[in-house]
Amino acid sequence: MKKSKQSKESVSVIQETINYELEPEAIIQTFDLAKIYNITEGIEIRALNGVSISIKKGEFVSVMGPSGSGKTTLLNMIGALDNPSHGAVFINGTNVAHMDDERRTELRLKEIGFIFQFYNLVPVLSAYENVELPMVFAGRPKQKIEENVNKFLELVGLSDKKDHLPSELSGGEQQRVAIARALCNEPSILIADEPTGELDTRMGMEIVNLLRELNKELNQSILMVTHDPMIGALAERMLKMRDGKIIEIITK
Amino acid sequence: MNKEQKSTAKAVNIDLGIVLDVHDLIKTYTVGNSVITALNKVNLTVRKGEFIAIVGPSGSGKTTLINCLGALDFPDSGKIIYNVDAKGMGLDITEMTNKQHKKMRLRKIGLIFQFYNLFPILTAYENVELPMIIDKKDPKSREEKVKTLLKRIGLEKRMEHLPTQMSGGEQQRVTIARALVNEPLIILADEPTGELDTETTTNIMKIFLDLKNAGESILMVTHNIRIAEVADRIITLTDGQFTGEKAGGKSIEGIYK
Repeated sequence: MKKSKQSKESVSVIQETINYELEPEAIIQTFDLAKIYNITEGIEIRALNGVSISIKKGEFVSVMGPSGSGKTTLLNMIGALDNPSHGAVFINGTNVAHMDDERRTELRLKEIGFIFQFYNLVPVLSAYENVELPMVFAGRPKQKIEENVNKFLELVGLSDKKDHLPSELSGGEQQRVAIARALCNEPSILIADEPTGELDTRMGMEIVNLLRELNKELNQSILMVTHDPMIGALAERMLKMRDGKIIEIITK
Repeated sequence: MNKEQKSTAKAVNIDLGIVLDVHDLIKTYTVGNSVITALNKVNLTVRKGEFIAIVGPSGSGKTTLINCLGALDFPDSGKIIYNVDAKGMGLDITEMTNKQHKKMRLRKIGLIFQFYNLFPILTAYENVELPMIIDKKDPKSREEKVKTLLKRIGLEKRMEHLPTQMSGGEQQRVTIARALVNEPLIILADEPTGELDTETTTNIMKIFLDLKNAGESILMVTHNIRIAEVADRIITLTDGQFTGEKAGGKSIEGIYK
């Protein structure tokens, strides 16, 4: 892992000059990742406390643990939605831990697809328009946008509902739209934070099975946070977290 | 929504000072064998610069009303006429197609919801910019407009923050800026403070009052009678019908006393 520190001038310099040993097959790799919140002088909370993981291309990994164990914090670091206090996060060989805002937005749009518990669809836009959003924002050509939106809406089984507004769709359908939206820029990684949290058991299983099928078909890496053991067990590898650390790894 | 046929919306004259004119709006839902009347002959006129609050309990028809006025749903019958060019040309959105509804939502109606609905992977700045990008506005005017609005709602120092890094009140302020960015005729707000504590609620209402004083027209539905009292008019909605109206204009400082 850490091999040498060439400078001790400042934290950011140290971050940039540590040499990390990257595994050639890893698409996501974290090194000693930590997030520390200083609540008040002398009192700190370590939401993440030294997490080192490696995820290969095409792997489907679930992260499980009780509330407050650091699951979402880990996901936010890997998804470049938050900065770690120290450590490194490599996505496709690039350390995203201290990227500038513009590059982070680009990474979030092009390299990573996000799926959230509450779907987070824009209510005034149709299913089609919600899916095309990340592509419009990434400045993709019109023809490619049309091609991908139709392709991914079909893959999630919603071709016949593309003109529907979120309010006209069930929870499961809204999450399918969110999955198509996460896929449309053809990212190499899918990050899902409690994607079944708002759905009943049957619909939850359906959504995770859809993710598994898509994972096999498109070979994206999926990192999914869940507190539901049945859902988590559908992944190839389970990371169990507690108090900001990974306490167990179960590989099928 | 099921209007795919050609639009039949014909221009009608509307008083210059009126933004929105609603006539005899009826909306029903069929659940199993029974028909539920969500809106029952609703009539309403919103004048330019007016702040109207519609109050009523859950199930009274508040959200159905916002969805019909916001071009998110079609009523069974009635007219919803907007002064679309702000110069007296009225168009009835119930006669429009889905495509025209989309344009109305993008350019003429600013919608604010209870649950913010920000795009989590985009910053505050990018979320506000989104409707302008969809409307193909040029980058220079986008930057100018987004920065001005974020400053107006007091978030100029939070532009690069993501929704996850902001409080509920801050996220709702971002949605207010997003609703205003394409300079709509009216702001429609559905329980905008439903998820917020009293202090943050007061701050959001202050922003609404500032917008009203700057000439914006606002229609807000809420179950919170206290915050409704700062509006110019308070209309009570009961079982899909307007059952009362009174003048508001209470000072913002007094609403929780």
